[in-house]
Amino acid sequence: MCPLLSPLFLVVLLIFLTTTFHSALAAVSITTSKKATKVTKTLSGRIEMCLSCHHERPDKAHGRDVLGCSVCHLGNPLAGTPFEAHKGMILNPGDLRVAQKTCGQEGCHVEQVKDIKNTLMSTNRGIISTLRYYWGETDDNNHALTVEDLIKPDHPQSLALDYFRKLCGTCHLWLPRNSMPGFIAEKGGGCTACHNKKPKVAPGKKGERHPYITRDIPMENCVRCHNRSGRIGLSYQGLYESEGYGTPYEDGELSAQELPDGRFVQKIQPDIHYEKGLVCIDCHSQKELMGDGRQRAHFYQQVEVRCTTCHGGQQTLKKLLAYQESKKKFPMLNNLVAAPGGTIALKGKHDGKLHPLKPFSEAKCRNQQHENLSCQACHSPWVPQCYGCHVRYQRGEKQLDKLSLKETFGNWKEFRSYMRFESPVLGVLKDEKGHEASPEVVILVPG
Amino acid sequence: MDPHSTSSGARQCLDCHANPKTLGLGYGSFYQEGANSWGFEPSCWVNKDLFGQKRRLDAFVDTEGNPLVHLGRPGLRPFNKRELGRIVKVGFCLPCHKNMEDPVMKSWKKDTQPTPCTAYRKLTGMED
Repeated sequence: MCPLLSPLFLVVLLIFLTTTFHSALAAVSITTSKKATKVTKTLSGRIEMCLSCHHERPDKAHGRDVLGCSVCHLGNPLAGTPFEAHKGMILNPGDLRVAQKTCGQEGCHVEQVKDIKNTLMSTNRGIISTLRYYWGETDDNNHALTVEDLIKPDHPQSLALDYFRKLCGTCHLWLPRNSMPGFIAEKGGGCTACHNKKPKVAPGKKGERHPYITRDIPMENCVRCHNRSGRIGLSYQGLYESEGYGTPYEDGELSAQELPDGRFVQKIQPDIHYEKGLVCIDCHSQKELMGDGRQRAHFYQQVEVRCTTCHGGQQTLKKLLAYQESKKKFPMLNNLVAAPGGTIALKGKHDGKLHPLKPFSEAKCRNQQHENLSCQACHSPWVPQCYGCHVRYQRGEKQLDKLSLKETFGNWKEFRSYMRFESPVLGVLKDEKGHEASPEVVILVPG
Repeated sequence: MDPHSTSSGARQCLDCHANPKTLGLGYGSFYQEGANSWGFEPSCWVNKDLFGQKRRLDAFVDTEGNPLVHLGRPGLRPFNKRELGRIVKVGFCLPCHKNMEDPVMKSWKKDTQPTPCTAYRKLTGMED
């Protein structure tokens, strides 16, 4: 007998249909019959009926009594019924497609939303242009092609761009939050990608939780993306990505030190700044990360704070502090403070502690023989080095295009021959004008 | 790049001046061929089965200063032959003149040719 006609199958089917139908009815009755019973006037003077049903509590600055819901999430706060109120609503106001109407609206973060669209975290311009240059598709690595261009339908394709779409395309701010499966779901989301941390305020009446919006960007938000290529987010914490065997074994089982994406790591010497309690945003300032509105091709053009900014001595720090206190323009650092003893220290944005800033040694760092060495050339004892990096392309197989969110033909897979953490290889970098007169000795990494 | 593995202490002199890996030549050892000539013996071999590659995966440059890899940033290159020679020669003096506090190292100029002192002559086989 056909299994689909067996009595047991029919009984199961009947139960399934009945419960589904009842659930559907219940859902409909909730969305049609429920009406807002409470009208709230927020501190900003807006009338909101959303708060009649919603009890989530955001952070203080975006508090429910201050802004209500619709300032950020749009919709119709005066509708009174869920169906009407939720029309045109936005779940993630930080999404760059809508941020101008939400986070970036007049009176809020207008400039920041304009600027952020031009930064490398949104454009990925450096990755795209370097990839195309590497693969011989362009004659230099400064082309202005961005993620925003690539997400437009029918943008011209190439092998390098297909590779970017399939393998690199999850680490940019245009990625809609929760659009990807697994650990990638937490990536992207525009402003929310960074300014979001685990709620630390009490949940609403029914246990609802609102994302906690913060300026104190947790390091995990940065490392969610900055853990591949140079692996800087891992190295900073003293995590070395080991080979994929799960060694060293623990009690006969694979190592428990595993990243969300399945890569195994081992703990080794972390960065001294991490040991002292500093997080990414202590050195990488707002303008450096969110930009000044100007589009740049590479991270080294966007970086403002250098080692010598903090370790250049008290005279340099005094000038920086005076500039910070004058509030004329955006300071390079905004966490310098006058410390006891007349010195200037860095106040940790996360730990709130005062960190003394020791100057570099003139005798050791500025002697004639070594004056061209970058600080990193001597003070970076190790770097992950991936040898024999290569990729396989299978034209006939499909893979998810992370920009269009569709499966398309062409499947890429990355391989490496071996990976080591070792003292870095050094090489020479000409100055920005291409002059060889005073080249800088810098770190090279194999690709 | 900045590897974000900063340490307060710096790398030791030998780590650059006597380490072919740091200089981009790959794993192996330096040897002295005369007063001012040196050679490099790699400890890895070319894997000829690897997509027809004719070079070692650990090398950025050969001893003649010819770059072996294409780096992703214009203006970025491995050390050239002159620079390699200048750095390696310091390494042969480091067993005796260990750091920048040493008078020989203090007065070292960029293009100094190592003085053939007795120890150096013995080390390099110029003298028994």
